[in-house]
Amino acid sequence: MDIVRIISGVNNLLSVFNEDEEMSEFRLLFKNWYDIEYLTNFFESNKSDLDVLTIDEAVEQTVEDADRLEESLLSVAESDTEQLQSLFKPLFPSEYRLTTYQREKAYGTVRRSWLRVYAIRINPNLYVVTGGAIKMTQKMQDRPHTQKQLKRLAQVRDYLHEFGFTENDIESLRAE
Amino acid sequence: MTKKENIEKFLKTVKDDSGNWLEEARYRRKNRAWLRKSQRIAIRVLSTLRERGMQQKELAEQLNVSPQQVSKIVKGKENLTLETISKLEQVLDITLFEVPEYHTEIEVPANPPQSLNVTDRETTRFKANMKWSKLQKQQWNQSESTEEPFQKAS
Repeated sequence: MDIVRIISGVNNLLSVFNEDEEMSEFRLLFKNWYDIEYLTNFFESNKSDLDVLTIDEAVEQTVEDADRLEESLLSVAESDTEQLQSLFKPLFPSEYRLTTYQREKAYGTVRRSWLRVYAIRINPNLYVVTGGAIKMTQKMQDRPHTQKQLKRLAQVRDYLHEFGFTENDIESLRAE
Repeated sequence: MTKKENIEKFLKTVKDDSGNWLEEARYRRKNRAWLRKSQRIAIRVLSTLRERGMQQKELAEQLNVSPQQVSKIVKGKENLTLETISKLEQVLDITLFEVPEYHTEIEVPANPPQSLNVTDRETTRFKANMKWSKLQKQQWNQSESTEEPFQKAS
């Protein structure tokens, strides 16, 4: 497994490197979240999770969310990468443990974004992005693409153990 | 080994990414306005293809462009020219881009109040403008009729 710096010369924000796509998982997320064809195909395959939204509305909403998320990350990257802790929150147990299934509605007065960037924190100023997903269900186990992200988090944790880090040294997080 | 030492050991294995996210994100921020239009056009084009069961390859043929060009269009990352947008509209028989027509509204009160006071001087100025426009039109027509036809290059 290769880990790379997302910003050249900055050691605070790292990412797993995707060998097939020849870019970091982090860059790949935004490449895909701004790709209308990719998003259309994704929502076609996950149509049953859309509730009241059409595929076109879901695509448009995702691009808006990607814009917001990327802008937050960019603002931190341009000002002070030590503020990354303001963006990444602990991964809620409800996101990966079996709990009562409750569908999140993709509409309402305050809409929560379904975009997720997953990372592992080694210390308050050192994050390794493992990947991300369009999470449309309550639990990560509910869909293969989010299950894959859980597996990736575990793989990166194992990889970090090889450097001597213990489970107490690292924490799984998400930004949305 | 302490955690600090583990971090140092770990960071020694870290390389730079193959590309520059910072630059890409700044580009998207700077060009957000037209990118958003390009994305909406891509959504509409893909939705139309889906409705009609039409393949991107067929669209490429009808547009007389390469399939790669259509692939770029439907990703929503292309800075499309007006010519390309018009061709897409024509081939798919849809509207993708509309510029509002210019309208001037003149409100004419049914019973002009006395205070409106449309003076003779304003009426004269209006007539003079009309005359001037007519004159310009005449000159334009004359110049068009006397203009030499384009010469073929020998």
